[in-house]
Amino acid sequence: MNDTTMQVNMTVNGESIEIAVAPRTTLADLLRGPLGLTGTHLGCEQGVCGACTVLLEGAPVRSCLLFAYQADGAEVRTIEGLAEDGELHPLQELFLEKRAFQCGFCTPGILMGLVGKPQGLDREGIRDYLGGFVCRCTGYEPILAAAEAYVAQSEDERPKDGE
Amino acid sequence: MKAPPFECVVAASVGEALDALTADEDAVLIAGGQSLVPMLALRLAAPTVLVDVNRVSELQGVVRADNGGLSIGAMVRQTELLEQPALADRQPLVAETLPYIAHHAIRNRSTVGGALAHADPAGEWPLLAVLLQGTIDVATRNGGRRIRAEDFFVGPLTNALGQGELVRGIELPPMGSDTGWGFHEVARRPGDFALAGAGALVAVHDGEITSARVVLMGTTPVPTVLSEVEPALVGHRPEDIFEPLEDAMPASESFQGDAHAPPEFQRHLSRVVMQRAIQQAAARAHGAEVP
Repeated sequence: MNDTTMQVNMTVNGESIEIAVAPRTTLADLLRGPLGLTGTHLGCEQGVCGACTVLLEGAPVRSCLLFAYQADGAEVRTIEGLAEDGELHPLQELFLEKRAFQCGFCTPGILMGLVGKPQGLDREGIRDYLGGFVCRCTGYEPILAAAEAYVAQSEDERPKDGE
Repeated sequence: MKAPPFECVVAASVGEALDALTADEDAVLIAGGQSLVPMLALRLAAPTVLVDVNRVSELQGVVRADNGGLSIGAMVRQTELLEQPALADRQPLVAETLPYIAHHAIRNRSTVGGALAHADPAGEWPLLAVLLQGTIDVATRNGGRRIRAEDFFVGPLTNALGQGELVRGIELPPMGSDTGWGFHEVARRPGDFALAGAGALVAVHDGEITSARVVLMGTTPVPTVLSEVEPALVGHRPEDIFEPLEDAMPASESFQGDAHAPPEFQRHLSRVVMQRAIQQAAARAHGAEVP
């Protein structure tokens, strides 16, 4: 087994992290293992299913396709960092209201994928956008409903950049 | 699965990256990692060293060329490129096509140089590079060389780079102002690998096609100009190209077929995507309106 490690510093959900990782440790493995943040899920480990999606410098990325050392110096935000002081994020509230999850396996990835309303996402674009996330339970309709409601929320009601 | 163990060199410069690539013949470059990391996870590759070029500033940047074209650095991410006003201005076909690459989260890391070097037969960038007759700028120990796109893609997942060379960027020439442009791909779901895709540049005069450049991908080992197609289209109205296109297409036997599509289906899809790309391009061409 390879013994080389690399020292990485990053901010995860606002907290400063300093840790040694093997080069091949993925960001997902770092989050789920040493950092104990198991809300980020591993479905395919090929970038297709979207369950591992987190925010890197505010943008959605597949944490299974990033090596942890590549996030050195970066800000990472995971599902655990979405609610603030026990208050659910408006997107999470909508998911509850619309029953947009069942087993919850795909949910963290979809939430992190949607929260920043990437690319000025609009109602037509949401269906295609959700193509990047595999859900086996819901049939997508309630997820679509929650996402559409989120997109429809006015600019000043919605916190910026997934705060 | 997890990637096999490797050593990592985080290069600070092109020179350092080339040194690391040359020092070990099993060293491999990592840029966006969106194609490489799945291969490592599936244990389809086991390089001893990964040479990471994500921090090499020389590989960044999108520059408007004096000739009206566009120079794009290898490390420019797809999403970053889509956000450049210069792209919409100078290369609208690229702007139209890039959103077909995988999914948003993938595009946030995927790079132009990586997509070119990976030479995926179903890749949008190889098709764009060949259709637009781009030139790949390659860094070598002796300074560099330039490879025309049509010479760069040698076979499926095989490019023309030698050991100790890397893609520095691509130069796209200016698009003609009279030509219309179009792109179409078919995939099972949005964001999946294309089963077939085509790009077209078409000129129209008095409602008839006067010239067309059409490149096919996904059903061919490399992006391919089907030599019989362009002459078959000239003189036809865009809405009437089904028959000439169908007649000019190679027979099913010329298509290899794969797990997703047998040869007959590949031939059919190829015709469909080419027809749609050509008709889109014709509609955008200057002079497309019938007087």
